[in-house]
Amino acid sequence: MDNHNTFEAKSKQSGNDLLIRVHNFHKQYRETVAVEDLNFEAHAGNILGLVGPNGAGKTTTLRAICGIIPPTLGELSVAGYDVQEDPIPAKQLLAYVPDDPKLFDTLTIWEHLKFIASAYRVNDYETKAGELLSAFELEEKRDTIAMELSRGMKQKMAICCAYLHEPRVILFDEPLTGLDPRGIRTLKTSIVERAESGSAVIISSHLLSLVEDLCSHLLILHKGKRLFFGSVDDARREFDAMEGDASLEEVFFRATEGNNVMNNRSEQ
Amino acid sequence: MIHPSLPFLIKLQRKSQFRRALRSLKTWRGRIYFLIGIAVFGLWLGPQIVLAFTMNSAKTSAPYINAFMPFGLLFFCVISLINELIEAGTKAISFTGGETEFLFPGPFSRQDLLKYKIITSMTNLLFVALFISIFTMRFTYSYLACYVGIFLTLLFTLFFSLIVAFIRVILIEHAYTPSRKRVMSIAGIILLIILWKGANWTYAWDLIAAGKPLAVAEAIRETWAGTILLAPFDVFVRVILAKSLFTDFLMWGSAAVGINLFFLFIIFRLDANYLETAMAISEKTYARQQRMRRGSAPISTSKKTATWSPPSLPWLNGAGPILWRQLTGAMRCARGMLVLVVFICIALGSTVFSGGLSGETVLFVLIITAIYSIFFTQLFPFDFRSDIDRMEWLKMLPIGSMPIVIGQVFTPVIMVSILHFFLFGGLLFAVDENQTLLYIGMALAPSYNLLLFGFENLIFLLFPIRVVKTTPGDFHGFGRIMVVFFLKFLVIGGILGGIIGIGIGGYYFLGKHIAVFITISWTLLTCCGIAVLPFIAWAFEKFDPSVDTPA
Repeated sequence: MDNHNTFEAKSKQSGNDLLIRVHNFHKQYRETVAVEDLNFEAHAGNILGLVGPNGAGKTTTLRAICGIIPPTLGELSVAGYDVQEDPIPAKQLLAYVPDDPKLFDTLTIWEHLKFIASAYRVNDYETKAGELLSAFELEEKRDTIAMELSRGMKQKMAICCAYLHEPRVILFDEPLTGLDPRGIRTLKTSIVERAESGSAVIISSHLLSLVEDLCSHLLILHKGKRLFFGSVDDARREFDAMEGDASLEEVFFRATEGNNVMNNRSEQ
Repeated sequence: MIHPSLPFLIKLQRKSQFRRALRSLKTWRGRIYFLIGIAVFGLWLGPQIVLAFTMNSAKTSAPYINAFMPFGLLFFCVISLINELIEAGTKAISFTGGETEFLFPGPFSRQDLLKYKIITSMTNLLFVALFISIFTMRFTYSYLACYVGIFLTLLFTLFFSLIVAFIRVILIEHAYTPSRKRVMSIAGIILLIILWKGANWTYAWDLIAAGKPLAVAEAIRETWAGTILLAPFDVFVRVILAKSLFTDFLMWGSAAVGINLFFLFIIFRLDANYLETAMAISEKTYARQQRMRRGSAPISTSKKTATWSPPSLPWLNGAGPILWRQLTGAMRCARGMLVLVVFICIALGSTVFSGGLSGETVLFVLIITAIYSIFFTQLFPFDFRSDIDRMEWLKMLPIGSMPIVIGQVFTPVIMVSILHFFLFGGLLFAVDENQTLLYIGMALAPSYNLLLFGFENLIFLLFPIRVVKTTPGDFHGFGRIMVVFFLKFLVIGGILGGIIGIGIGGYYFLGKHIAVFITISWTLLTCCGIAVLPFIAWAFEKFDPSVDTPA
């Protein structure tokens, strides 16, 4: 836990609760622009919903924040650490749960947690890991090897691994896939609890009801461009043609299918 | 230094592989498969070890290994380069799904992950070297030198692939503009021209035409381009062929270690930002593995859209649409078929140009084709085998079991029969005698293939299994494959032998007419092929996706 504390201390010393900063992020694959000049921030306690049609650049953005893919241009930082210049402290403070968790096929659930504890230097992980397994109803499966798990159990296990080191930044890509109702409720509760305890969470999802239920902020991407970034309430207000209680679904379609209007607004 | 959790992960993974192997021993069936696997493995490797002690041929083989192995290594390096240019990424920087998932976003530096990758690859190479060395030890003077030499050579190829992959990553990162790309292409062409001019290729070609392979190797070596290009590879060959441990082995072994360390130094100095490329390659590899798990054949085209599909077939009680679906899929995944067509073309071409086949050889070709067709069934999984994850869907269709079975099984039968026609038809141009045998082969091929793929599908539905990569030491998996294969060989061989026997009997008892033999054999073979279909339909009905679908 030593490193974790040091990094955490530094991020706290900076006197800033800004946990995710994406500045002028641009990602290009040869002639294809995946993300163009993206700017947004997430502070401690924020739950940011990342929405957009397929191919909008959501996963590319999440992967870039994780330091898995380098930006063509721009800066991305986690708790004040630039993910390209200073990747290890940045990664120490974040967790990423991808849309299709790929596990170490031959390791058991418990061995996955054991390895994560070792990688993130989590001391006395047994109690914490036991609690997570219990919360996600995986206690009985702790000695089952990953390849024998169902899709939903794999998802639950990936979430347990992500939570084990108490990350300050948590990135979810379609987190509800395969989860049972109990699992969905546990996950939703845990996300809110973590945000309340000072973490910043990004949820990329097509399930707008999930975003509506949980998120305090919203980032709408379309063809790699930012269409909207702000609080969910602001998103509703942004569309003055709509009523104040317009559903997120209506906001989404207005933003992505009438994007000329929105482009002008986001540039202002 | 490496992050301490990475060696811990390697340890956990090795332990889990061992545990997985032992897990299979919990059941009697598992124990039997395990023992059979060990026995077949022993029968395979045992003779090699005995031969190494009783018939060591190092003295006669060494000049050939010395002459050709450096060319083999050079060829590998060229292929690696081409592969990087064409396929955009080798397996050298491929990580498993779990590794990309947990290690890439984890608190590890690129260098840490690279060290992890190299260590895991090296531990795998220790096993690979052991395996290769058992087969090659009888051509060398010392087993220790052979094993260490092969290990160092494999390490060299790994490091070379990594360097090439990293250079590509760096070039793409820094040099991908159309004008720079043109400059790089021109530089590459100039280098090729220099190499071409540096070696006396016309003289070499003359020697190849004269059938003097050793002289060709020597001639190329004597040129300055040959000397420079082959020098590093010579070192590894000298380690493998070391005669004395204290002079040759130590001297050349140190040189080989030095080359590998130099490569390792370059790899870490390059410090390429390989994670994105590695992620892309790993995702591709993962997708391929998933396709394999589902039993699908590799797609033979890189196109993501398809504009052409075969015309719809008549209903035929539901068999038509099922057959159409399999045929369409097969046409887009027929890489195996393309490989075999190329192979047949080369074999036929060289046969025709070398003066044709003798009449006796035709019978041999027919027998070999029948046997090899049993081996090649895995290349044509366009039936129930590729639908292991779609069994529920198949069972849901408003079509009877028999039409489904016919629609499923006939695609590989048609494909392999076309291949057989192609082979036997081509051979008609290469032989003057015994052409009747080729016509018999063509007549029997569809019925034989129906029996072959029918039986294959029957076994599959009764004992379903996924095609997954077996890990070193997975004797259980190996044993199971051997048992199924032996069963297939025994049944198909027995039926075919019996039918041909009856056909020959009919031929002698009914007036020695070849038409009698063909009629009897064809009728019996076709009946056997058709007789398997109801059994497949029964096995399909009995298949319970909730229980029988393998994990």
